[in-house]
Amino acid sequence: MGAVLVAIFGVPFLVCVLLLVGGAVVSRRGGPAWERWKSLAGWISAGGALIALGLAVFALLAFRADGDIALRAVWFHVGDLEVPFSLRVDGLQAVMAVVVAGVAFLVHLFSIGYMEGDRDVSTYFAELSLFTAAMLLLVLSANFFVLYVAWELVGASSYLLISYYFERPAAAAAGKKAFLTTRVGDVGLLVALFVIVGQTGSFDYDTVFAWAADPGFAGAWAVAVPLLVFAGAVGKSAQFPLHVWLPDAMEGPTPVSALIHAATMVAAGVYLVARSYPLFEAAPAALDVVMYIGAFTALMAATIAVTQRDIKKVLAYSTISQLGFMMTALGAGAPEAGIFHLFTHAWFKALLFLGAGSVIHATGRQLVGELGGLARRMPLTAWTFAAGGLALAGIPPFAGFWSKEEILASLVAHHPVLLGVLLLASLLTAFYIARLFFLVFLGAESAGPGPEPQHGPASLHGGLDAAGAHESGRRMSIPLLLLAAASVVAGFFGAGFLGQPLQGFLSLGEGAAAEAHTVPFWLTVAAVTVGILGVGGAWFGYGRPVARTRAEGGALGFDAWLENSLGGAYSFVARGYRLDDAYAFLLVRPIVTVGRFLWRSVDGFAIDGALDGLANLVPKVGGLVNRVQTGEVRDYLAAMAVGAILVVALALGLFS
Amino acid sequence: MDTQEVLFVAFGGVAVLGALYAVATRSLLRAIVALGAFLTAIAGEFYLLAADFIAVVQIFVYVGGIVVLMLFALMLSASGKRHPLAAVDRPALGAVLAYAVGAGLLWATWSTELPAAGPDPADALGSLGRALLGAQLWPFELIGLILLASVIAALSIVRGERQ
Amino acid sequence: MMTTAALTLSAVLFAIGVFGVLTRRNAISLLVSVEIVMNAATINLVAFSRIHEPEAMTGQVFALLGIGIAACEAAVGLALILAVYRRFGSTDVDTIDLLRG
Repeated sequence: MGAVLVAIFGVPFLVCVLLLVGGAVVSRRGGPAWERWKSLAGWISAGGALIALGLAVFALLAFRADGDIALRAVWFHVGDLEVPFSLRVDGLQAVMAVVVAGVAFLVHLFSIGYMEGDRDVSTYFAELSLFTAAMLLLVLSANFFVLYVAWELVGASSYLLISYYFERPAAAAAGKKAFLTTRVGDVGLLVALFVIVGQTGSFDYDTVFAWAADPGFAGAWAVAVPLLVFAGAVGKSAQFPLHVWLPDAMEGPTPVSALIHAATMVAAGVYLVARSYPLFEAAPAALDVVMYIGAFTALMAATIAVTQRDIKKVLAYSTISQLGFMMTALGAGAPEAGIFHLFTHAWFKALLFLGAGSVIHATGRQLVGELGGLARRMPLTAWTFAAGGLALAGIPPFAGFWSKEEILASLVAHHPVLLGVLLLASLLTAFYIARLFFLVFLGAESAGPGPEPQHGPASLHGGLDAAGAHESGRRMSIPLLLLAAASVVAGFFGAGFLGQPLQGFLSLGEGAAAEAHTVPFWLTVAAVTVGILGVGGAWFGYGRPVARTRAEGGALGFDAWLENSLGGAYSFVARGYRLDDAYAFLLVRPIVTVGRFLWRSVDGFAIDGALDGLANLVPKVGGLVNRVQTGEVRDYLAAMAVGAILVVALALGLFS
Repeated sequence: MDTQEVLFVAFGGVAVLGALYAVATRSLLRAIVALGAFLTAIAGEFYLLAADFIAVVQIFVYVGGIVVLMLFALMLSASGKRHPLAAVDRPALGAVLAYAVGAGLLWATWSTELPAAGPDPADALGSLGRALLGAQLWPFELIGLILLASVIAALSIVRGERQ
Repeated sequence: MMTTAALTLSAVLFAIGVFGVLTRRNAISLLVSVEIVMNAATINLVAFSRIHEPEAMTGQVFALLGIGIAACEAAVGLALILAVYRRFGSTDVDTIDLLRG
């Protein structure tokens, strides 16, 4: 069984290596062989993901039958510390593996169509496979060290994929921003690992969790360790204040956004907190921090999402907001609810992103101002997008309703204020996603081709062709359909009336499972009402034909009214509460200034000066020594005479 | 002072004077002739030092060979006429260094206890012959080779450019 | 007594020779001075031969070989001077500085 675990992440990893090495070799040959390689690369990569998925499902079933599966191999020693390479499958990890592999496979499939003809397609799929392998390793690891290695690997491959169109300065900058921002969080996680291994002497989950319960970490560390772990989650899962990288990360290809920034990598932070739950349970103050940050992020991001005019940015802020929901649930003592929402969110958010990808691929544009009326031309995309949107908005029977309800339910007992916050955020969620749907798919088509398409594959199509946008091919539509089906069905895995099979399966934290989990009826009504109000409000502002008038500046419908009445406040929110500008001023500028100063003074003056001085010294000395060689015989004779005198003097002992 | 010492001083004086003139004069021809005088005086010194065979060899090789060779070279290089060049150039440096060397050697000579000279061998020539063909055979043969090599060398150097 | 006198003479002649070597510009004059130096050394050798084991005559053998070598050196040296004269048209050593660094 251990071999199965290794294969789950090993197969995609080998695919990556194969594509990199093979790509390097074949690309040099060029010609028809290279073309064939490029078209095969995607299928090879998708095949690897499919194998991983199959094995993950197999592992899941095996776990259900036999219980925990584990693999443990000696890796290396440092002094007294032994660091093993260990993997395992339990309820939580099995579910995560299936989700990751499943979404990854569908994204691979979608990418084959989306990235067709792109110059670097072989590298793209190599990086995609690398990410898949790293993420799977992350969820399968059984000790913190392997987790951290996979964590970093995930970050690195995310950087590679975000900066895929690296020749665009914006894309390159976005990749750097993502990496550096998550780095800040990663440092926290690293420090937490130091403390953990320092106090417990081991990285193994079981050992550490047993320790956390009794005797626990010393003094202030008991709260600090989970908070430091949470810092890593804040970075990877884009919670406030480290969320600023996610909207920029939309520079990467859309399938990448679907995989990484909707369903998997950002979920890693949530997974980390859930997996390390015993650490948090030992320090209730830490749980409160998680909860408050999650709730704040959920509301903040939802408000920003309402003001965005780029499809992908709306979805990006939506992701930040939904992750906030998950964190709130974790902090409120209901980790199963958080994971349940992670589960459903992975499917419908990936669906929404891929749907956006379909739109972008067909039209070459991604701003709502330039889109419209696509439902007629791309019905399949439209319907599946609607399914995803309904799931996000929390309308029953779609998946999002069930999981969101669980989260709200966890707040009823002790945190009514936060419940109100999340309800408000849910209202905004329904509103902005409906708004997006109406603006993109309904109404009249935008007149004429818009400005230069910004994005790789569409530029091959040159934007709209003579017949206008058309529905995407089978390779892109099949994943959309499958995900749409998942968006409907996924909710039932954890629905209350079906006995919450998923949550029982996860077996996380005893305290939470012990609580009676009945959702008050009034809450269900409130949740559904909020969803309907949001969608209805959006219809009123954007869906009605009358409302779709374009104001000056190109704002559509309700946006125009908002912009006019709120003025500066509107643009303040639209720019993410100008947090990027704040960071640039407070952090980036001082660092750059210091860096520049050091570059000029230390590097330029001191080091270069020393080296150049040293280098110049040699010819100068050489020049001086050169003067001895006059070429004159008598000078040399004189030198010999002097030498002879010295020898005589030595012989006479004059120097002793 | 006995006869030997008087003669020694006399020959020595000639040698020194000859050397001085050879070193200082402007005319190359006169320098070479002075050299000849010097070499002869030295031969006399050799004789007084119980090295009569060396003295004879000195006359043959040096005076009869090398001095003549120099005269020929002088003739072939047409540098015998009085040059506008100063005969002596940079005398200060030369004087200082020469003085230092000489002083050093003299000081060494006069500050050491030299053992007395042993009795002269009865058959000087015979001893020399036995040494050359006995203990010092190797150097004796090698000198032959060196002479051969230098003859060939001199010939090829002089001939070399005419190819 | 005579040994000391011989050594003194040798020292004086050596100094004179060194002076000549360092001072003269003409190549042949240089050679003359070198001969003076070598003869001074030979006197030294012969003088010492009388002190240590006069029977072995080592010093005199050495002196003999030295004279032979001096002859070789003079021959080759003069040949060189002639070749240089043909090349440079002069026997002034100061003009032959092609090896100047």
